[in-house]
Amino acid sequence: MKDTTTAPEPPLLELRCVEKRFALDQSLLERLRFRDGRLRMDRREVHAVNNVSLTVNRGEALCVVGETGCGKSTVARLVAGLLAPSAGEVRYAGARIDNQSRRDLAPLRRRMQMIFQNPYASLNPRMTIAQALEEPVRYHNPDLAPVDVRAKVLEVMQAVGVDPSWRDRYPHEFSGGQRQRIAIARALTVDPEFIIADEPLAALDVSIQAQVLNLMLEAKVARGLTYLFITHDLSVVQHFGTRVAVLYLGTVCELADTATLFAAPKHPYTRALLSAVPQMRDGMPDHIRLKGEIPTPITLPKGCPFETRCAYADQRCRVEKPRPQQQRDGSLVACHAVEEGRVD
Amino acid sequence: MSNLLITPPPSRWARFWTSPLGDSLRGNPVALVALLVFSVIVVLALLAPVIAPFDPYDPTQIDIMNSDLPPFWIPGADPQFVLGSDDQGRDMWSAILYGTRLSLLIGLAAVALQATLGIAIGLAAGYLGGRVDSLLMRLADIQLSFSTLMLAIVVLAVTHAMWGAAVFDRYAVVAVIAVIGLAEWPQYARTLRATVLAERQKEYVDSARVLGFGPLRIMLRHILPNAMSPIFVISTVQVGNAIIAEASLSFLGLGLPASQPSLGALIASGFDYIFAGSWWITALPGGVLVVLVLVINLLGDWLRDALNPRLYKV
Amino acid sequence: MSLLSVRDLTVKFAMRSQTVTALHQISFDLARGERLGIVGESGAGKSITGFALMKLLSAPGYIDSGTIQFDGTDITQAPEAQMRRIRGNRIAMVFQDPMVTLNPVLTIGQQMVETLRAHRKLSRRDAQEIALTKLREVQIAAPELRLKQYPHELSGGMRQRIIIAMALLLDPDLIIADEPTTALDVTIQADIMELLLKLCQANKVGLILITHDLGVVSQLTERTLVMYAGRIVEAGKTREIINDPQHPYTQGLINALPQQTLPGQMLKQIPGAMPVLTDIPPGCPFSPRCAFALAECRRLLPQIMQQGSSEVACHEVNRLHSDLLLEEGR
Repeated sequence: MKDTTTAPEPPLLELRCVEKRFALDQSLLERLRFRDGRLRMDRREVHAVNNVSLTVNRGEALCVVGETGCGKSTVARLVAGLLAPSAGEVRYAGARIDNQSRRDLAPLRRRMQMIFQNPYASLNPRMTIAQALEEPVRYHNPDLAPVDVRAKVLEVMQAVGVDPSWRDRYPHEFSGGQRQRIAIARALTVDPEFIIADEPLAALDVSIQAQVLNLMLEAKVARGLTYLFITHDLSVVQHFGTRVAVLYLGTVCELADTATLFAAPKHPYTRALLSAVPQMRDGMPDHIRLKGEIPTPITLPKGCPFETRCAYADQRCRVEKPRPQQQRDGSLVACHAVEEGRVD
Repeated sequence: MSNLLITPPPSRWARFWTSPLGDSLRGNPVALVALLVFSVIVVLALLAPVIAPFDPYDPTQIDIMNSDLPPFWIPGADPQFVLGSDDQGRDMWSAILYGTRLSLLIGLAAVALQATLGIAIGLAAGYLGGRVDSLLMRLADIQLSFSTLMLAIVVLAVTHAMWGAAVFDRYAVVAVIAVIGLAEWPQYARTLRATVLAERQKEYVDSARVLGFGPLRIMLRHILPNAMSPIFVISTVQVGNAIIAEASLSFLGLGLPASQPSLGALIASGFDYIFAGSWWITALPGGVLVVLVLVINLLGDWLRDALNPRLYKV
Repeated sequence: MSLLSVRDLTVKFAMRSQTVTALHQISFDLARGERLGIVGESGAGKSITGFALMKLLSAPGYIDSGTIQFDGTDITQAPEAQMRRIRGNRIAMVFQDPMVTLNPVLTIGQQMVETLRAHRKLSRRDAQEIALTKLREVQIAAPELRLKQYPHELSGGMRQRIIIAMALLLDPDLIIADEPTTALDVTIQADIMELLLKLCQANKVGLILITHDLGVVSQLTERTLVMYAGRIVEAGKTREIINDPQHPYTQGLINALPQQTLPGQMLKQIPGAMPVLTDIPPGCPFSPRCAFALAECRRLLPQIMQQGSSEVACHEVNRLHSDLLLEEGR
């Protein structure tokens, strides 16, 4: 076991200044434009993730929240290796994983798994449940006897609450909640230690969300899992997350312990977000109204991405990007107004 | 734990018959009849060596004295030759049986070739994307700009000239299958590529990648089974097209030789007699050809509607 | 007189192999300007209720029995021509996905003007004026510019605002909104909710809000119906249903929310799942999942009974209530 008297364990997952840009125009012909009397080669890009640095320590659940276009799904895919970053590094257990070949990444695949948002698309419609669950076991353990493969799959199914009699059925015979269970079972067949969950509850009914969330909590405790949990549902964050990162237009606005974030949000966007969540109370609460519209991630504002909608924005916000700064209660906030003490 | 009844899953046949596909078949009398007719034709063609009274390829069985006999419903017919005989004395019924057999063989083999080639190329182009995709699709475009018939004519005429009639005749069937097969692969490649592009976006493909599976396994084991519906639909039409293509080539004298009469060759051989006497030499094989391609197309129509994505709500 | 009066509405679907009942004897009233919420999970029948009210059920669905009275007129058997005069004009509908509701090849202006001129004799210019007024009412900046834009040029929140503006174009008496904010970000959702509330209050327009989100219903509606497997299981003032739910399903729904449990603890989940319409258990449809289920729950369907100011369909609640009455009687 780890000797706790030596230096604290490094974070399990680390993103260092990660950027991801997607080119909008693909072919040569699309890129040529006639502007200002000359033929130019344009390069329009979607800046999905901009200089994001995050760490996830072993055993914790880091929740990444934000609204549409904030880049949280892109972050999940970057960590999972489905996308390569345009800049920056992704490190797992100290080693870089964003520039490895598929072969070198093979051992990582057993340690890090992913659960997806859409249970209707995350299971192969032409494979039975048994096939879908046995394939990863056989692939990663080629020497395992078929009898042992079946036993392993059975064990995972029972742990997750998947009825063993479902083996020979196809995904379309099941509801969304059941499919999500099966997807979680599939992720657990390789005995991972790190789970990336990309909005796993978004497509589910309220009462089923509770079941699946409980399932993930159980798995966390029973298997010692570490989670990177992407969601837009703040009540789930408050319940499940140990730490929270709030993203806006691909930038980290605030990063704090869950309790701290909900008790004392600092970044103006975080505050607006928290105030907008419908509570089960009388009447309309006075939610913080944001002016303007979300700017497009194609041409990013030069300064703070939130500047166009922020009530505290000033000239500095327009030209200078704020950097995350450590606050007294340990949270990181990237905001000039907070730094200058202008936010009450 | 679950509120699904613990019943044994239904057998494959029962599953098909009660599936939306089976239902669609049951509810569509045209498709049912087409399927029936097609099955009958196929069975008869397969059993040709067994049921045909004569072997039209055997020169010893042909007697020129038996030529130009009319079919049984016309006075002057010979009961030995039920559907009459052609200008060389061959029995029409046997010739049609063997001819259909050959046409079907060529049609199915050519489509198998097209499909294999097209699926492989379409899969690679769709999944790998980028330069590979561009290259393969440009090849497809080039292939498509040569019409099948023109390509076939050129290739077959050249091979005919290069190796002479004797050698060519021995390998004629293979040559025709090869030409038709190679000319039409872009149909499959394009369709499959489109489906693969759509499937590739789905999360089960992402999941397979995160689970560590390699591109080959994902392409063959995960994506291909989900991309098969449009393949089935095209295949039926393509079989019809291949049969017609072969018939056209034989009609033009470029396909199968007179010693291996396919339906097309039979039609060609009776051409001179359509209005002058033995019209049955062209009309009967022509009728069979029309019926065969018709039922294949009808089946294809039905299949296309039945496999409509609306029904496959997964 | 209530604006909308629904009695024993039953909707069935004639499927290939059997006929399935999607709505069982739904009854409720809506007063003028009242805001009613219909809450339930997927499969509960709330969207079907909305469509049935507008007579927009497409085959194989059909209204089997019951009556719908709108402003005193029975529209249950009303012919299509009559319904067309009502739809858009007196009852407007707002759907979940604005991109699907708006025609992508027409500008906003064209769509709004078309809607207006379909129901009233107006010149194009007058129709445009009305459209501009409505756009301003929903707080869209630079409305003249928006009229010339296409839906894909606008953000999701803006599109939903425009849909609401279009719903208000003809000054309807009732708006049926089916999950209007589900597809929107939470900050935009808050704006749209506030907008809906203000507009309904200002124009005295009735609102039927169909949603699965209890928070939204809590802040926007005065009364709520809770639906389960095609039936109403609880109905009453929203405030009371949220603060003091009577029906075990409503209680379960509220208890299952993460806010109701301490962080890190297991949530109080409701076991099982809503039955599919083809496989509804006998008796109370919720009985297989209910912690309080009695023997008679599995045999007998509970009727909706008035309990205090709410109506609840539950044997256990009835029993407790009658016990309480007995107690008080002594």
